[in-house]
Amino acid sequence: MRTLLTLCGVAVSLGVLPVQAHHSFAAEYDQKQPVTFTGVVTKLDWMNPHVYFYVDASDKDGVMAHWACEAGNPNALARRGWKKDSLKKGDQVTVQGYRAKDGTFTMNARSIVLADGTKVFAASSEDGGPLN
Amino acid sequence: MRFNAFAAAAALCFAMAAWGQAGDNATLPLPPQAPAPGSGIPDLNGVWQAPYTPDLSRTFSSALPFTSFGAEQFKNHLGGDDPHGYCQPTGPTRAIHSPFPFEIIQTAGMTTVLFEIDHTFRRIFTDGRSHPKGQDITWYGDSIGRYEGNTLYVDTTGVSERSWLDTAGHQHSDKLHIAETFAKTGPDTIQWTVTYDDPVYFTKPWSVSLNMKRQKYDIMEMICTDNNQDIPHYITSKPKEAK
Repeated sequence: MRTLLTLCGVAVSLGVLPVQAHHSFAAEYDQKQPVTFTGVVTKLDWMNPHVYFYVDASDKDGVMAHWACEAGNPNALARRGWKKDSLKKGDQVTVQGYRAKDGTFTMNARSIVLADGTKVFAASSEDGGPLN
Repeated sequence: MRFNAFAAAAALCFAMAAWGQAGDNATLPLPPQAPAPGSGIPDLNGVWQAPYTPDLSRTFSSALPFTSFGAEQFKNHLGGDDPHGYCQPTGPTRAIHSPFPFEIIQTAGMTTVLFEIDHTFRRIFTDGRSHPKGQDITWYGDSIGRYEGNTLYVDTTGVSERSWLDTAGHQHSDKLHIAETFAKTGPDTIQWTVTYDDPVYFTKPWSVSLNMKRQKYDIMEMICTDNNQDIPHYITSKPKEAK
């Protein structure tokens, strides 16, 4: 129960606390273009002003895309207990978020789930973007 | 002994030079080596954070009092125009309501704010000086302050119009005059009130008040230019080379 409460606490924290302020959601991303894909993490940049991770994922036709995924700010994520190895190269992840308006394979990650169901760090609901 | 007397006299001269009208930006005196803040001055030292407020108008009970020019500028802005998206400075107050903590350090004649965001700092002179003559326009402007009761009153001018007031895109001219109060309302709380007065963008001054809380963690390094991957993807109304 204690673990469950802790996990709930982390989830609630991620839902309501800001982890990015560097730019507004609308500056770059399109809330009318939600995307979800499953693939393998190829690289993680635990760096300011945003954590970036890169995922190779195939679409339904088997075409491979190399996604650049923006997450929150590393300082804010670290204060919430996340670490740079919370997500690693080789991890299989399902990422949900919103694609960049410029049509590149760039996206703002709102949810990152590992193959075992564990949720890891993502972006914020206080950047003017969608609430999930 | 002779050295001490000389040092004291020099410090006194220095302090006197700092009072009254200060010189231009390039020849500003350092703060005097006066005694450190003592009784009667609120202790603002520590690491603090205010609620992240990306849109200042949300805390304002009615519409912001835009001039027609100000309204037009706000209507026509795009999020990709935000100078901070390019890691340009926040200006003196946006860093206070960012989602990052900051450290306040009070020394003799000066209060320094070390912002985690962008690893920048701001200085507020409390040695009695005025704003500089023929003031330069700079990203953080010139801040002077005075203490009264539990409150530090701060007056800032000369802020570059290149900075934005918030992430939502509220902008200002270099005629902006900022008045702030840092009121120590408890051992771990400061009520911060900021008033923006800019005749180019607003028909009358408007204020926002936020409660800062003392933080238990130190500030960290945050270098915005470290890995700013966003720039090529911004949707902006301006040529990117103009940024």
